[in-house]
Amino acid sequence: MSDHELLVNVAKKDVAAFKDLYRRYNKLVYALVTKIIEEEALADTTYEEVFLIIWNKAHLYNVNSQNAYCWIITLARNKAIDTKRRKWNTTPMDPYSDDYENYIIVPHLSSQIDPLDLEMGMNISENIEKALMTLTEAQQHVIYLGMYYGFTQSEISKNLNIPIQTVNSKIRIALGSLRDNLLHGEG
Amino acid sequence: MTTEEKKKFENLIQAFALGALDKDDFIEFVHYMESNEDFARQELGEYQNLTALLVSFINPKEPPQQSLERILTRIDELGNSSPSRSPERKTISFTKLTSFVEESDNHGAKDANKKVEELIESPEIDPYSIVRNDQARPSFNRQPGFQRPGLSTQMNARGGEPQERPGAGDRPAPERDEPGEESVDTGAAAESGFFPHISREQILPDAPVEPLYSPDQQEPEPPYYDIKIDEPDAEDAPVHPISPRRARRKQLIEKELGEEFQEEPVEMAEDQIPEPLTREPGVKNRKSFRGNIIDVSGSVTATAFWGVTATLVICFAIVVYFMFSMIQASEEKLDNRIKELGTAQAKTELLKSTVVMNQNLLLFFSSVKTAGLVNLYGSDDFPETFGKFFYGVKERKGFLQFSNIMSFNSGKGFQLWIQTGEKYVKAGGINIPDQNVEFFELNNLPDLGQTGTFKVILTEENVTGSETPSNTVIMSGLLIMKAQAN
Repeated sequence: MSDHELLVNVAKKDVAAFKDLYRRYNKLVYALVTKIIEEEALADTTYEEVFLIIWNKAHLYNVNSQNAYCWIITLARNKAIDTKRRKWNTTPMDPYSDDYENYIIVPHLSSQIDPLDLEMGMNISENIEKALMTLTEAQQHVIYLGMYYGFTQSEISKNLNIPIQTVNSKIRIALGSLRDNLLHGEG
Repeated sequence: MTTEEKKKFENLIQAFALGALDKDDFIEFVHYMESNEDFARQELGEYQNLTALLVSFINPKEPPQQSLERILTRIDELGNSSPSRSPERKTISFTKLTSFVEESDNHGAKDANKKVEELIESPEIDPYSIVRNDQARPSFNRQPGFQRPGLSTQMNARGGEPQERPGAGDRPAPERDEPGEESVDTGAAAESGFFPHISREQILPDAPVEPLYSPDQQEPEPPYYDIKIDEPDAEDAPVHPISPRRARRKQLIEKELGEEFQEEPVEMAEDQIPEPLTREPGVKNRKSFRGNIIDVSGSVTATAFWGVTATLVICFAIVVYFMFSMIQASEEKLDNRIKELGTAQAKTELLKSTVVMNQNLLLFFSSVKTAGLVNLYGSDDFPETFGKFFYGVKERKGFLQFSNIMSFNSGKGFQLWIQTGEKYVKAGGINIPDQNVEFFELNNLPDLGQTGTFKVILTEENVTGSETPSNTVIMSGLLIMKAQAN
């Protein structure tokens, strides 16, 4: 059964499908969460909450996208970043509620996204890494700050002491180069 | 949609996919994406896949062993306890959500949200249980002005097709038989509710299971309770508006005070006092305690006044004396400190001059081939003075080092003489002494290459110089020379 089919069944509250999906994604999701949240206990809690959200919000997964991988990974990242911000950010955040979870944590995937699952992702991971290495150090740093530190554009701007427009430009160029490298096989 | 808007949001696609948009930009972006058909969804999809794939080369990590078990336990609990959670993604604006929370003046609502947040953070506790408990009481979401968020799903708003929703029958049957779980109201109110509702069965165990009343029904009148309350008659009620016990206590106090007044009337006490100074202290105190006016015009008061004044003056004098003593002590300490500082400064200067002198002495030694030394001793007038006279025979240069020449008269200096035969020859120019300079370099020394004994004296002279030494000899020494072969 594909990731997509499993997730569809999870939306139907199929516990067996959920267990299968868990076994496929647990290591990657755990690695991602612990990379974002360094505190072990908090990372463990967040990791479990990610799968709880998958169980509770699977019905929000767009079945037409057939992209369970992107949905799960983005959800896990969003949740981990949100937890990290709540724990360490000094700026007040919106209260965590069901609607907040639906709107902020559950990913807004494009309706025209290409299908992708874990197996496909793992097959091209090496190419992704190579393509990433072709980026300049500054470009990699900007991506890293956004991806794992959960910095927003304004926070990156403050952190690197550069204008926010420059940050946006760097993000666009970095991801654009990465995409071009992958599409043209340079990775 | 203007071209500028389109360009602006297309420029944000990469940042959105990376999750790096700030809150306001995020809300605007999502709204724009969902409400514009010609949005670059294909491009966004590519970048979303790309950022998700960035995770793929992270080394996978084994999660804790008990995680799955804990997750399933919580799923089991949630599945049984939150049937009324909305299965749809609401399209309410996130700003509205925030404002709803902020505008709510009900602290209970805030507290409930906070509790839910805290409980969500905790994996061991069912986060919804507290909400259920809160709703067992008059709930914040039933307050006037409560607005439930809209029901349309996000997918509908995005233009996507409505997804197949799992019905109530599709859900797994509750596996745990927890008390109260079966009584959770899954009716229409719960379906549209923000939080799961709870039935009256949990609130009032004896009440019927059916809903209290439907929305189109009037709320029934509260039941009449036949409760008899015994109240005292008006005559029996205490006169005071306070409790009978306090009133009785007050009466007793007033009575007691009244008796004291009768026993020792103020007028009597005043008449019985023969002299002001012999007045009984007890009477005086009692009067003042009861608030009577004290007569301050008597001689007793005047004496007391002067006594107090004298005491104050003495106290003031003592304070002034102590302050003066302290100031004096401080001044002494300050003087001592200044002296110490002066001494330290003098020592520093001496050290400095010594260093400079030694440097010059080394320079002198480096400039002569052979050097001789004569010790100069202070005369009877300058017993503490001591000096060393270094000289280079061939170079006819000298270096006079001395110490303890403390002061000279105004307009005076000293001059070095070397006696050859019966005659004193000037060995150097006049030098004005300086506390900081305790050496002099002398040039044009007389020829000391011949064998013989030479007397060296240092005399005090006028600053203009002298051709013959004065009688004021500061120090003197004896130079014995032997002719060298080469």
